[in-house]
Amino acid sequence: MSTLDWTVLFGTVFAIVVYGVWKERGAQSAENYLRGGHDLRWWTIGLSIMATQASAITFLSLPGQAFEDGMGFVQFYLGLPVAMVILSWVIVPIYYRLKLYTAYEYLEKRFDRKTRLLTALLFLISRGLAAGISIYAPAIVLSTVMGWPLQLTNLAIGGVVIFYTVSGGTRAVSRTQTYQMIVMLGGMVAAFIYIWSQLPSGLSLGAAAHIAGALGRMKMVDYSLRLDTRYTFWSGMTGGLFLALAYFGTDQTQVQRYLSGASLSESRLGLLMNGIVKIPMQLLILFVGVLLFVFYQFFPSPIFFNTAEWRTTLASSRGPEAHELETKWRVASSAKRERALELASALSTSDPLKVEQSRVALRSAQSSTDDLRRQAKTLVGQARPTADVKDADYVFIGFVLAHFPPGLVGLLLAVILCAAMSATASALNSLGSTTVVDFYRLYRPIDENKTPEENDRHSLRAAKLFTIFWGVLAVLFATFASLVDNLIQAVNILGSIFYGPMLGIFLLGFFFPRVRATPAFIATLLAQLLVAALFLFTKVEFLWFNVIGSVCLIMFALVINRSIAGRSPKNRSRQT
Amino acid sequence: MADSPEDRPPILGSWRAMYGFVLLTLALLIVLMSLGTWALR
Repeated sequence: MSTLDWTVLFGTVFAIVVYGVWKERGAQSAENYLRGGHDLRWWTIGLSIMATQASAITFLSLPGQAFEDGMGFVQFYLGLPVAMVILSWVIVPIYYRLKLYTAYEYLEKRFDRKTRLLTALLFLISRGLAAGISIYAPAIVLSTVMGWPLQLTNLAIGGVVIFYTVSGGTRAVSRTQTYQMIVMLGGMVAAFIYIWSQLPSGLSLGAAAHIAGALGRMKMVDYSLRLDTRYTFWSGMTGGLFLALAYFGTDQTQVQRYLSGASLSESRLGLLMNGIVKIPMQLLILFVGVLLFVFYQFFPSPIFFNTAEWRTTLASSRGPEAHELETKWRVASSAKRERALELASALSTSDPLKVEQSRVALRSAQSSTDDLRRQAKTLVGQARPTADVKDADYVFIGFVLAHFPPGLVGLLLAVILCAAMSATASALNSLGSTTVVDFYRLYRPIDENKTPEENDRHSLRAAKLFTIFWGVLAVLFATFASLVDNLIQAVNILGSIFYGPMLGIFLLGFFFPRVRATPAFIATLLAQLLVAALFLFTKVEFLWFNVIGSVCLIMFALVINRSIAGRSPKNRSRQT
Repeated sequence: MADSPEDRPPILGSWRAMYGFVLLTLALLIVLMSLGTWALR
């Protein structure tokens, strides 16, 4: 990496942090630290919400996902705008009316304390583990491709985030996220323009999309009713809607962002901004991956994109087979390049027959290279059984390092670090707040012998200490994450198991006023067990856990509520 | 929830119009993505 890249990388990352903390300097109160002072405008809230959701993995994985499977992943977000409307219309006004610090306070006001504590605990477990992963996942990729020491990368990302989250609280988190999101969007637009400019001269963007489409990478919407296909229009509009409702409506990382708005209107507008901008943003990131795919139709690509892992395979006992595979890869790639050039030429002539013939020929060439890539992945797994045979996360970053000009490499690395830091900052901020508001304050009430200022200072100190506690835990988790196989997957699954019932209990509170506390609590436990059983004993896709978990919880609660009401002395005397 | 005077969006005048705008944008995106999928199949 050049000096210019280092300057851009550190300049961007540290300028944002230092400016964010400097802007929010001055006296703090617990209210300010936890709820952000209620003066944020809708664009800050909108960008902050988007930055919280956009983790480093979004920018590392999504282009790779589009490279491998096309644009279909965008359907995952189809339910999001509908969820933003439901939240703005129904849920956010309730949160505002009750003047909440955390979403879980609502559950005590609506049901009882045990329901609040159970839900807050589920949040702390899943988000506490996920905070470690949001540091570890980009660190492992960056340390592999850049040669940075893994533990130092974990410590650097975690340390900076703990510093500004603790010193500035909710306002500093939202403020820095605004600038971080602008860097992320700007970086991806720059990447898009640069990759576009690197396509063979004379190849228009439309022709590039046609070539990608011929190879199945432009299928954005799939209306089939297949349950074994993860991303379809229907799974996006139902499973995606429930997931977005759960994430934005009940996860404190997001609730804290919009509760810091200057007014209900600002919070609502921030959410609606997210509803409008999110899908175009995801389309842009996925299309960057598609453009990479088209680029590699014309230019040589590695057979396995995690080149460090491939070098290990070449040096292993499987080396001779790997070398032989590389030779076949070069021949097949060269043949594919010829077919791609033929299709590009046919597209410029607009001769339908010639275009169709070229498309068939290119598809055949692609299936040969796909087969060789599958063999390479098998070989990597055989050479080192603990190796990750998925290389999609390395497609985009590998291209950036190999092809981008000085300066732009630093900017794209800044995008990844900004994303890692913004997602982790929201997580630590909300974990600290939930621990103080939902647990600490309940068991250590206000000391009446002290002045309000002294009590406030005590709450503020507790909030900061708990944020540090969660930050240190996240860094420790990231440090030891590499010792456990499939950890990222395990944490993601844990999150998706909890989300359905968490949404269900909130929906029950909002829309079923007759259901009382104990039936709601029992239903939460039953729905949680059901979703865990579905995960352990069936092959139901995780997107459906949210729908099943929340709908079953509501049904269980209604049945239990009715049976308890039927057995109550009041009802018995009414019947007799 | 009815719009109170102090809780009106600065653009489009009412929250219902804002929600309609968001859902219309989604519908338009779905139509464009479907057409794109069909044209580039």
